Amino acid sequence: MNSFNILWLAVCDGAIIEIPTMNNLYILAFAFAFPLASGAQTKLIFHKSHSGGDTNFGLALADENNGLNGSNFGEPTLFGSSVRLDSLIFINGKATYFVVSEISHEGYGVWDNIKWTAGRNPIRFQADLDNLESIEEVRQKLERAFDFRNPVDEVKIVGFKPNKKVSNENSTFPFWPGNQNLRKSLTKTPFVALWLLAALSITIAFGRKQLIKFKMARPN
Amino acid sequence: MNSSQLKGWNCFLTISVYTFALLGVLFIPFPFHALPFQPDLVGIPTFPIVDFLARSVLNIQIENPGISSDSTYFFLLFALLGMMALLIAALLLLSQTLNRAKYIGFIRLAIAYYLGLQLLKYGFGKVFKGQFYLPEPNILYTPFGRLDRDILYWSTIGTSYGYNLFLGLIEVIAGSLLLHNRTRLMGALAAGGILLNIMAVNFGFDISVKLFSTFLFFLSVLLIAPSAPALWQFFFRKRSTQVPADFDLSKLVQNQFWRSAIFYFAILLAIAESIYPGFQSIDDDLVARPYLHGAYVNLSTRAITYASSALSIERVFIHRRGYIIFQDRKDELQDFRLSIDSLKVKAILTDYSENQKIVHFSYSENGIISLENPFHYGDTLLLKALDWKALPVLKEQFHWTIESYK
Repeated sequence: MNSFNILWLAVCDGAIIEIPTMNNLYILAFAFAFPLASGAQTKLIFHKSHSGGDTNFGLALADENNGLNGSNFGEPTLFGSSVRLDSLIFINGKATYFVVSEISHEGYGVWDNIKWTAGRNPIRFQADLDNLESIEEVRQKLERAFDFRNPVDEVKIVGFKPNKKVSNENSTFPFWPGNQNLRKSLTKTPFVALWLLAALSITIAFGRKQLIKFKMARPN
Repeated sequence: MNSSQLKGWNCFLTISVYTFALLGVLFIPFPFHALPFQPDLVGIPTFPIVDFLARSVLNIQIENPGISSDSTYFFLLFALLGMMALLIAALLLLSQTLNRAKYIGFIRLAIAYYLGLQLLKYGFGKVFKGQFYLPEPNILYTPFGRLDRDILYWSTIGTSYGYNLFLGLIEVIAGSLLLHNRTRLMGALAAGGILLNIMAVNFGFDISVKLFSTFLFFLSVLLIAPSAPALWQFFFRKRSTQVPADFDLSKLVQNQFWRSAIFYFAILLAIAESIYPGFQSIDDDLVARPYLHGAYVNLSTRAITYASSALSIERVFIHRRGYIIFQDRKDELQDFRLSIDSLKVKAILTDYSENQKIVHFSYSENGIISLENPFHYGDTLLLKALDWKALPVLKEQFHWTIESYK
């Protein structure tokens, strides 16, 4: 199953919550309802905003954990999650729990809009993380579908059993040469949104053409 | 002079300049929301060459390679694009198959849309208060004279919603005018004025978007340039005149249906790209801040008895983007990346050398947070939240008359 096209429902501490991940309908609405946080700045201004000194700027640039990736030309950028995923627990081959230790006071991940609670977050319909061939694949899926504060390599994956079936669905762009970052970007939401925008534009143009035809055909 | 009448060096320079503008539009790695793959995509052909130029040709040692605003690599990218533009222009002219009017017209159209998109993005960024955001508590409690001019300017503008709205709407209007053929010259003139001011701010306040803002100003000048003689005649000679007709999409795409589709796509993309951050909130100042965000004063009497100021912590700040900042009695500030483990009630402080300190914290009923002093083992900071939003700079004040000051 393609990771864009699923709508997950999860039950978190007894309360049913909705996880609007990559559903195309949401993409059509540009996923605008996501509570993204924006902050526009240059890398230097972001560094100075938390009283970072000049002498540390080089070190801050070198480490992507310092959040400088999203700050560039002083225009609004979106910044990341406050959720830390400690571990992903599989039981009988099924992804069953996310164990989360660090959350914002609202309890939402900034990017993925999932209501998290500290501790175990049970997942009932988590098909996309099941039946995968390797832990690396699980990490890839985690990275694409969620936005945790910590790198996915730090997440402990417990009880995972590799599925021996060969998966054909590793990448939407299997032909793309080499560049992992680029491939990841291409498979994320905005790329699909571009196609939808193009479709919407063609629809409007078609509607306009029909309207002109209709007007011309109408007797005065 | 019409672009098809250009000859010799003039022709070569004109083609080069427009080619350079087009290459800039295509190859500047800009963080578009709708095109997040653009920086990686353009990096494939450009980064290896820029890296080669830096290391092998210019022998520049750069610890943190990356093409970002006003980095050495960014300047080198512009140099590379300049050289490529000269080469491409020479090849195009040698081939003698170039339709100059169509080529320049197409680039002018691309420039107009790009500049329009940028102005809409920056404009809505201000309207939604995402660009010049509310200053963080640690900035508000840093003495004025200790702030650098760039963060000072950014923070000062961030305190006035009304001024952000004004600046943003002006940019949105200029950007919108650029998207339509009939209003393009007016939009380019407005954009030129706005971008000249932005350039002056970036240079005057040492804000590291100097090269990019200069490039955007250069694009606006390119858009105005063919109309400059007519404008001169009109404004300074008081003569009636006519501006030259600009390139239209109809000259590029004959089919009206596809022309409409391309036009709507460009407009929708520009709108979606620009207002995307605004959907989190119409006003970023009102977006909920993370857990423990704010300013705290240290009530611990022990802390101020230390001879070393590093140990005598006066205030503690929690930054919106996951940092903790300690301010001592001499107003020296020290920041750490902060992770809060809400299960184990501990804070993980990471410095720039990736050294970690784990300090425990607890809450008391009277609202005091006890935090282990990361600078002195066994000491505890007693932190009481400060009402930082009540500081004068953040008060909504407006006075028509001086008598209304009380």
